[in-house]
Amino acid sequence: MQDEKAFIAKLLQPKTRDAAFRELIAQYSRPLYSHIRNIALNHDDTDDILQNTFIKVFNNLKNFKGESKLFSWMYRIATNEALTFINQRAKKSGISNEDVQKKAIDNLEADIYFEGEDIQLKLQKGIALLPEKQQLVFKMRYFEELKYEEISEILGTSVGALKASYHIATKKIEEYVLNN
Amino acid sequence: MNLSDTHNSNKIKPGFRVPENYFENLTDIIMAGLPVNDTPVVPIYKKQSTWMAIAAVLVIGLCMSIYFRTGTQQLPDDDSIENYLVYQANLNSYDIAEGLNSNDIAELEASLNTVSNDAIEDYIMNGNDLDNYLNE
Repeated sequence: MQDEKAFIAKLLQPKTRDAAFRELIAQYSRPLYSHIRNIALNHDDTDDILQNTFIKVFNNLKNFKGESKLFSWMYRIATNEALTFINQRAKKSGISNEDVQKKAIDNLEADIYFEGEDIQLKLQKGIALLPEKQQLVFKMRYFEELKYEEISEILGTSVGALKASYHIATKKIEEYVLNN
Repeated sequence: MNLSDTHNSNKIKPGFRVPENYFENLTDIIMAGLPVNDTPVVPIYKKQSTWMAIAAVLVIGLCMSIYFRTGTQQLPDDDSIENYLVYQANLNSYDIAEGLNSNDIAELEASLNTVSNDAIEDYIMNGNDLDNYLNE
């Protein structure tokens, strides 16, 4: 905690800010990229969202009160940016969020930045059938291997509710994959 | 298929690939996109000049309302003046008479002519100040 406090102090000091922010990007760009990619599915959108996320982090560092960990705060910003991106695309296209996601999954088959295994595609289609929050919980737990306590800090949901949500999600996805 | 075990070696990966050197170039791209202006943004409500302008407008508005209110002040009507002179003012008939000019006296005389003799007689018979009038 002391290390994080000292690091945040460096991020807020004009003299040390740039070097500290470079360090922040180096430390968090990969996990944040994975997290955003799990929501947005394609690389180009993920790249846009990730850059927006870091800019938002930079602009709001002075407002970071330290009530949560820096990691949780940044993940929360990344999640909101990704979901807002999908909402805006849906609004622009005049379709639902679910349809935006369905389109993104359909495009995965031809995506050069997707490994393309059948089971991977089937898994994505099964996940897409879940409610938005349940999808997030599943992805954060299964793909990103975050602890329930970490997910709880990011999403603001109790650990108990997250465990229940994950259990339901796995049952639904397993059923879909087995039947398709 | 066991999705409950998240640390299973046979776990299904998301299958996403990243362009070559993406993360190596990312830091410079993000740093180049950050705002450079370090000038602190002062909200308008915190600016002293804003408050001084508001205060000046209020003072001018107040002065104008006082000025125009004084200019258009309504004068009390004749009944109100009469009531004041009879019940409130510390004046006697000599004080009032001193305030009358020849026009006022002519007007008063004209108004007395409209009063009938019966009304005058009634007033004299019922008035309590009869002795005072006889002694004046």
